[in-house]
Amino acid sequence: MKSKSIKGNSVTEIANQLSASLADGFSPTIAIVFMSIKQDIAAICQLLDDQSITIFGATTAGEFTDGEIGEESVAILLMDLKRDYFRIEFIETGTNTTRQVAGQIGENGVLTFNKPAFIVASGGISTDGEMIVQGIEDAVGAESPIFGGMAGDDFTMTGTFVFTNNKISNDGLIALIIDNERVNVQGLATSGWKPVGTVRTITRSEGNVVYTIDDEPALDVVIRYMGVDKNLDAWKDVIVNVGSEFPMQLQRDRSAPVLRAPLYANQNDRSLVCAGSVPQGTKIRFSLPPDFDIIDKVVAECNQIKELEPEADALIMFSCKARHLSLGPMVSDEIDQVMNVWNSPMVGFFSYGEIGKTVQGKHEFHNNTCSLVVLKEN
Amino acid sequence: MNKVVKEVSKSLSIAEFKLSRTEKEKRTVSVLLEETIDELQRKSLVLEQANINLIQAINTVKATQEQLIHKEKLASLGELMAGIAHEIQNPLNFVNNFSEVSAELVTEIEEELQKPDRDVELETELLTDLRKNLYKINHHGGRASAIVRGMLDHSRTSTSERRLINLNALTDEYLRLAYHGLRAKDKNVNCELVTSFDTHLGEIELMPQEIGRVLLNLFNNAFYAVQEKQKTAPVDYQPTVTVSTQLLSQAVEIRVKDNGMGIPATIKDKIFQPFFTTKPTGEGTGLGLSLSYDIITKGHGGTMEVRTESGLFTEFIITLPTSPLPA
Repeated sequence: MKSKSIKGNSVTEIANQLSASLADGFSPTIAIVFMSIKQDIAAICQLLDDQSITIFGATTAGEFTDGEIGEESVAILLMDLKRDYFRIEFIETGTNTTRQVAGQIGENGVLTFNKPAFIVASGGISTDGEMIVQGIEDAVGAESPIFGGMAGDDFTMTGTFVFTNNKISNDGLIALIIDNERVNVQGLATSGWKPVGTVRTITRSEGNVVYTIDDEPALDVVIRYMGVDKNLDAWKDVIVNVGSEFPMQLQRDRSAPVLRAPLYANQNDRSLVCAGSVPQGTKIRFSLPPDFDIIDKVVAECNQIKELEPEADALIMFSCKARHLSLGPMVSDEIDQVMNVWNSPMVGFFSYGEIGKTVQGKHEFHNNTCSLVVLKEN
Repeated sequence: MNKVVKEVSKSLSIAEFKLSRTEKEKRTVSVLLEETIDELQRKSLVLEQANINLIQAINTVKATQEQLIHKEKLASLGELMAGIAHEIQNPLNFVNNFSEVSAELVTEIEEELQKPDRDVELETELLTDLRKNLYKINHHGGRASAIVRGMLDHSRTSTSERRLINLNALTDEYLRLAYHGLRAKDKNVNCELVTSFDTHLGEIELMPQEIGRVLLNLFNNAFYAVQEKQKTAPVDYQPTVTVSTQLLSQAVEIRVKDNGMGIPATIKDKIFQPFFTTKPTGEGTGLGLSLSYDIITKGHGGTMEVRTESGLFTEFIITLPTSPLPA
């Protein structure tokens, strides 16, 4: 499989880049498209549609094809994967639950391929990513690979979208289902956040909204850690980028803790809306960002994956927006170095939640994580 | 040149970023640290309070245990009462009888003194009888006093005084007290008492009240066991309690055997545990055997074992060293 990545800041730039990449006779069948909500999504989709390219698209909080990170731009990975080897599912949630929709995607995957692998993106700020994994597992079991990310909206919290040819939704899932017998799908999710402080208890929560931590309003607790002025009256009703640099680690009985980052806060009830469910009664610890040497560790883990998959046709990265905030300009280094491990075309975006697997564990829904997918046609 | 400037600029921005993030982390860590210290202090206070509560609870348990032990002593005293009453009645009868006889002798002497021809020989004889009577009254009064003193000793909280004691006599005395006590409560009780005392035993240094309590406890248990068996046994069943002593090379052995119900194997290991009882609620404190065990093993450095066969017999075997433990 051949692949190429392109990027641009406008429809025109993308049109030019697309033409250039097709000039040598390259005939892509699928495009992984990550772009800002500020871009003309319909126009860019039309460009691809005109070339009969199937679209797997999600809006972002920053997108990239290499270490040069775009803002409010477009990043596209073009692949000439045989059409028999993949299938796109686009389902709006509507009155169903996320788990039901994900279950439907899982069933379609099983109906299409003996061994399906899933790359999923979700639209909708309050979608519970955990339910995506559980829904697909309901249909296919725990063994099939699942990777993906929750779409972003440049941290405006106005709405995140997924899209495909002639379809766009801020309340649904898009899945690229791949024939895992034809295309190897490897990957890893790595975080590096370190737990600090005492164990706290979620004393009131519903789904992914946390109201109180140790009976204190959740927002007040997080703000105290951040050392931000507590006078919230001057703040907007919805406060974005609060506490995402200090995610919670949900303690679990028999497995490694799972990270949950607050996406935004409601000023009125001082609640935090997280990118994933946080059950009431859960024990949590706050955490500090990864050490500055985290990039070396990520690269080391990539090298472990490379032993399983020495060559890659394409790379897709779902990296948490909070990770971008915590690692700042170092994120560029991370992307470049990961790319260099395989030296293959890449596309990625800064997401509001990631699905992937740690080197040792199985695929799960994470926050504040960098989830990498490595594709190689057999 | 441009590339170098770009590289330097990038390095500078990364350094600036690291500095600013470190500042932020420092702030957060200091907040977390304060909270952790606060929580540790709170936990420490909770632990201190828990410790105080624990000490209080231990003291309460100790006090309750002492009360229970005292109650056990009083309970065994209650069991002794009937036997003691029986034992004390004998000397009192003697005292009464000899008092009456003595009064008659005094009258006779007075009459003799009134006679013109006094029989000095008779007077001397009457006075001698009177002296003998007074001596007997004194002797039996002393016997009654000894029984009362023994009863008081028995109920005392601490009776750790060691004395040289005739163990055979002590054993026999408590066996009779226990049996008469039982008979006083129920005239129908009939049990054969078989004793076999080793005459070579001599006097042993021990705490008589404590050993007395052990023996009383074993005898009462033995009588209880045979009575229980009699309720369901064939008519030809003869309840028997056998008590024997024997001088060993460096110890003395006391055996108390009954042909009662025996102890089931499932509970044999528990009988020396405190508060374990098979008696109905209110009839036993469950402390008798555990206290007895402590008195023999810890108090006297001896051993206490049980042999039993369910439905056939139970035998308690006590050994006490003849050379006493250092006080």
